[in-house]
Amino acid sequence: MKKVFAFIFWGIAFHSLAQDSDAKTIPDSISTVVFTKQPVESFMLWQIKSIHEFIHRFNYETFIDGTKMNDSLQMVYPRSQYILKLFNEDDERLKITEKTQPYFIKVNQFIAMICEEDIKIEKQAKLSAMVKVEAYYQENEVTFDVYLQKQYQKKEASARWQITNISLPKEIIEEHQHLIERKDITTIDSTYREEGLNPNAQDIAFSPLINAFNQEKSIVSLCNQTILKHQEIYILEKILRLSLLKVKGTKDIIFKINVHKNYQIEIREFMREKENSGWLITDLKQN
Amino acid sequence: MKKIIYYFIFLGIYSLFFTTKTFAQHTEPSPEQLTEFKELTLRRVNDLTNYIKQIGDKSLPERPRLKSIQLAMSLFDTVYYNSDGEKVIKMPTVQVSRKDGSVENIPIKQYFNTLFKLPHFPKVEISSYDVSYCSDFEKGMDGNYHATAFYYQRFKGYDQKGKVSYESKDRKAIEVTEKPNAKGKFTISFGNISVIETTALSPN
Repeated sequence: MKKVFAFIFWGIAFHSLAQDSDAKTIPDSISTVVFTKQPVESFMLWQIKSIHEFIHRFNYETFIDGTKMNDSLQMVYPRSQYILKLFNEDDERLKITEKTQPYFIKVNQFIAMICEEDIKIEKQAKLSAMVKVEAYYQENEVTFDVYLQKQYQKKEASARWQITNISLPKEIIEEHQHLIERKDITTIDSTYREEGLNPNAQDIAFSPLINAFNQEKSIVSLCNQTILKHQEIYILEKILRLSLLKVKGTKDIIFKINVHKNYQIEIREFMREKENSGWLITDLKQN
Repeated sequence: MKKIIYYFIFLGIYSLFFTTKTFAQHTEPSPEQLTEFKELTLRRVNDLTNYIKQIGDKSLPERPRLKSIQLAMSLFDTVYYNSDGEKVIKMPTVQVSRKDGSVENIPIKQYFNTLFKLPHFPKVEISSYDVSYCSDFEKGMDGNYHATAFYYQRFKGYDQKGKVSYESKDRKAIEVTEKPNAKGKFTISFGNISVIETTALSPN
């Protein structure tokens, strides 16, 4: 008798499940989605998508599609022209006038030196970044700067990004300055775990920082040990732990790379639909 | 008896050395393998874009679309180990940077669910381009290899009258991690995504 009841029960259960499944297979006709394949636009090929790509192009190692530079490509694109394409073409200082002449000459001398001496950016060249962080501090919108540097561990052939400085808005510093006690800063020091961000964090606008700010509510493990006793690190750590700060996102990243021993280049991202776009040189400084 | 004990001690040390060496061979990929990882990454990116298409395709029944959310989610890594070896659950996020300068950061699951509903437009057109790029793999402090994959997409949203009410073209960057599994074989998984608009049009 029990078996009969069980049979009837499972029969009803399967029937209702089948009906449920039929109901879910009715297509949703509220809106339609059309998928198309578009031809590749030239800016998508030329756009410098990452810092790695920038370095490969600067070093004259790869063409825009990622293939290795060969003799025929080098004939069409001499290195001097190829490097000039890495500069922001909308930079007024690159249009020759009496006023812009010094920068124009400096850029030309730089390119000539790179080509003549076959200078390349080293794989472990000094690379630093400045990131603007947009956040809500007690419901008010604030922005502050985070400075990072890429650190290389030669022994393990590995790399990571570490925070080397933070520049908080004045009002936040003033509000919390009286709370700082020496022993509190030592407490931060004792919770330190040397971690850092993944070596490719720059390609996704350092967004893992947001996770550290909003979920872990601590940035100590991302900092270089030398800056743990900095006043602004302490204040930021304190307001994070008190949940007074919520980060919206990161933007306006600026990179600085040392090229050769004499020069430093500044790179910013230009998202526009032209071949001269992506990560481009915005400034050249002579050390 | 002593000889037998020495024999087992020797065998133990030898096997320990041998297995460590074999494991080390598996955890350090060759340059050729790193190039292969790049190709494999681009294939995985293609899988992800196909899942995204299915999630947004309202001509399909709900069930396979929900399955596509699951499959897309399975490509992402949500479990990490910190420097103390503790297991940490982190939900990858999508950061959208708009042409007007605003930024928004949302969990990946929420991003897929929004795509599943697409509540704002009666008709949507999503276009893809045959261009994708993967950066070099670099070893991180966690011992895993990290790279970033890039691809472009165009989105068009139409209003009730069939006019384009929103259009954007964007470049997506996806964090990629190669890490060895328990058998020492490398597996690919995705992490955070950054979406940057190259154009945005909202005709009024």
